[in-house]
Amino acid sequence: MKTVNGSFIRELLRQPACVIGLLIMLMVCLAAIAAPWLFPGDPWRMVAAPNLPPLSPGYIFGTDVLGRDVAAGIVHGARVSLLIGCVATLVAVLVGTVLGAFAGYYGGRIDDVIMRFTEIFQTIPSFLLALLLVAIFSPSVYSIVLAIAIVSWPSVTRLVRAEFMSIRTRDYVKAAIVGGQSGTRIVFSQILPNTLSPIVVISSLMVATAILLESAISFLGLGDRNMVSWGFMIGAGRTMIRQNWWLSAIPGMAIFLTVLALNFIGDGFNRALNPRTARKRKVARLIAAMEKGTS
Amino acid sequence: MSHLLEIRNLTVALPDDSDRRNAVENLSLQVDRGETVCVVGESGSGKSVTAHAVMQLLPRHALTISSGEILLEGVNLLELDTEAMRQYRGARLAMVFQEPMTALNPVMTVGDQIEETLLAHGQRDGRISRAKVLELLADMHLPDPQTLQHCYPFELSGGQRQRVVIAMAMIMQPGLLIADEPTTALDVTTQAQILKLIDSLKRRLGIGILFITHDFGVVADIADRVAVMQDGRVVEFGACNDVLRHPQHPYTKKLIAAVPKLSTRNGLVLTQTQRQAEPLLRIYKLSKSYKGRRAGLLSRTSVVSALNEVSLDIADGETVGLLGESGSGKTTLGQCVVRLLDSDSGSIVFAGQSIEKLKGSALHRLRPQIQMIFQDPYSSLNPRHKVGRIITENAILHGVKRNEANQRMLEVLQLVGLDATATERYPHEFSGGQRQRIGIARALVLQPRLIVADEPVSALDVSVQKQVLALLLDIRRKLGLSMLFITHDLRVASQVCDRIAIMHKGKIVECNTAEEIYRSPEHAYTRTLIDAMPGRQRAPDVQAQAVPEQQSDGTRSQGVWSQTVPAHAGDKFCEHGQVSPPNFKIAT
Repeated sequence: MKTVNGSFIRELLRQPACVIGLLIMLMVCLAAIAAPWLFPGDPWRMVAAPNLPPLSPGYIFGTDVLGRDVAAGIVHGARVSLLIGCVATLVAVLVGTVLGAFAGYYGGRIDDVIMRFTEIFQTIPSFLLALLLVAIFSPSVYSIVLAIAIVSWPSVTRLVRAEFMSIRTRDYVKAAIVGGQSGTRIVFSQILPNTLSPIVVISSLMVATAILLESAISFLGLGDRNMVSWGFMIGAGRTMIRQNWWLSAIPGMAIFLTVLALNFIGDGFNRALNPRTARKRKVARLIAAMEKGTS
Repeated sequence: MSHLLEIRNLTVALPDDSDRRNAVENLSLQVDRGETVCVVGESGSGKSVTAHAVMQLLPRHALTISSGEILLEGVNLLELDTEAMRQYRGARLAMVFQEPMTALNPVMTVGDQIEETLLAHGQRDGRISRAKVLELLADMHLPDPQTLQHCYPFELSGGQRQRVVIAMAMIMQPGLLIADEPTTALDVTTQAQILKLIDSLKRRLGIGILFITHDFGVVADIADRVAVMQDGRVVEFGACNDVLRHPQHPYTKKLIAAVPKLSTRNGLVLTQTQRQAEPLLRIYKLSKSYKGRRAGLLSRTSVVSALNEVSLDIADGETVGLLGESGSGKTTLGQCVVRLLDSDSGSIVFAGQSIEKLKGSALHRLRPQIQMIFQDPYSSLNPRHKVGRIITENAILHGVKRNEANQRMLEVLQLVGLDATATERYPHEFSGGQRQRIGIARALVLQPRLIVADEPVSALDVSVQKQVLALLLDIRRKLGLSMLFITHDLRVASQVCDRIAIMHKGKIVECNTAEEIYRSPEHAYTRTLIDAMPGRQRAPDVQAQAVPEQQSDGTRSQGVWSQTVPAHAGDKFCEHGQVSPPNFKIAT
């Protein structure tokens, strides 16, 4: 990994979509970090006359029916969206990777047990399950993170399992077995580093899905009451959509841009990390394939 | 008369950031009707690119023809538009690919696939084309064409598939056949048959053949003229016999010298006492079968027997070759010995200890004593680990202190001919041959008594192959290791092995010294193998030589064995009391 870092970043910057994605995400992150300084105090506070349209002096995104600043809501909402998106993804990736790794490496009975368990979660409609979990545990940031993590780990497990199944047949894994290394050591130090690229790619896409899920949960009014979130803002503005369209459209735009940016970044990572699509390595591969007669 | 195919000053450019400017540089060669022109070279020499350039199958954007002409019967193929070129392909020039499994469409019957070419060239009458397909299948000496045409590729053997691919190429009776390593993926016996078939096509139909290969044995069997390629250039082009017997260019000389010859040097002959002594490894009636997939819910699982009561002894310091075709069970046997696979029945006794059922810490203690060298140097090293870690990791896990492991690593690196600076680099920075050396170093650093080498040189170019074989010989001479050497190549086996065991369908059918096996093969299968060895029929220089080879540096000569205790590395290895140079008598 270390030796390819330079070329990896160059490969990322070569893709315009990925650069745009990275810029958007940088702005969202900066906004989230700087929220307490940009808009000090509680974003729920009523600060101005109600229903100010966007671009009003002092209130760039206007205000809602109670005179709350929409811009403050967007910036503080970015914190909630990113926090929930990242933490839920982290939990899901950790759980999914460990389960997938053991299922893929050991196969047989262990694989059967883990995969049947995974399938239970895959057969239940994930959004309904998430809603149900939030409702049962009473809405809070923690329950939302947990619910999103629970519905998203199965896809990671399947991906990691497939990677492990293919890599465990490589000769260097056999060499490690013959060299007397233990199963756990082979899983974590021999195979896992070689599966990182697809895991990184799926993680960036999962953050996007998690943000959407969180918005949907908040839209339905099951979000954390103490924190302003983009989904909640859309939900709250929905009744006024004909008079005050910006109340729904602006947080909607925020979600759209963030999710789009994450998808761009995910695609960019995929191209840069995956030797099949990395431009520079492609040529060498083509020639090698031709010589091996598989072109 | 004009040539059938004439390539004039062909240059194929590589993209800007490649390690050299052109894949093929200023290449000129001619193929006439009724002759086979072989293009020989090592990997990366541009021989496949040349073949693909003639067919205009080069990957667009990546490789572009920057100058030159390719004339087929006087027509410059490079000036044809896409549609005109499409009409030429298949009808006037056709291609046979290396891997028959990927060259055939797995979801179409072979009859339909061959017919497709006729359809593409305007044959609309189904009855005529069917008749043609059947005639051609019979022509390719395929059994029962009537039934075979309805088979899917997976139902055929590798050799049959390659015959179908050739049939596909020949159906429009093209004047030029391009064969890109058509026998490399096949077993030796199948290879011999396919070469014979291609040669008979040339004689009967008077077609010209452009044959790409890396094997001088194949060249000797089939070529009328030879072009030797190095780094995209033709360094020598001439009649087959001239090139093989009197190579002019140093590179050609080097390649021909590197072709493994059947060596009948006298191996280690055991004295009576040693014969009675306990062998280091005794495999007794070992069986192993694989369970197939169940066809249906109620049907029983099919069982494929990979090893069928195999027995084999390896003495201390002896190298035994395990020779067989793909599917003969030789790799399975090797993996059972290193305990990558569990055997079903029978026993493996190593140094007096029965190891076939060992588990847990007992198995962990055994591991360092039996090490393995792998075939593919590109998949046997973890791409994310530095070489230093790859070599020392296992030793440290077995309780060797870090300092001592590093010390051992330096000694082993010196032994395999690598620089100490290698330790700080990643595997992708090394060539195939160097990677194989790293793999050997990884095995040696554990100070094993037995090494199982699974086709250690078959993925390497001939010149590298020669170096690695010399290294293996050198190592066993210095360290007195035992080795189980798995290979499909009798010539390679004869260079390193004291005895050779021939495996066929899960059984060892014959086991003897290389010389005995070559002079008086007992089993019918052994005779087939020897007859199929490429390069036997012509060109005595490349032909398998039945005369005892000159003792070269690597091979053992009189007396060397008794003085083998090496000055440096060996001492360290003997210190531990496990390995001592055996005091065998050398028969001369």
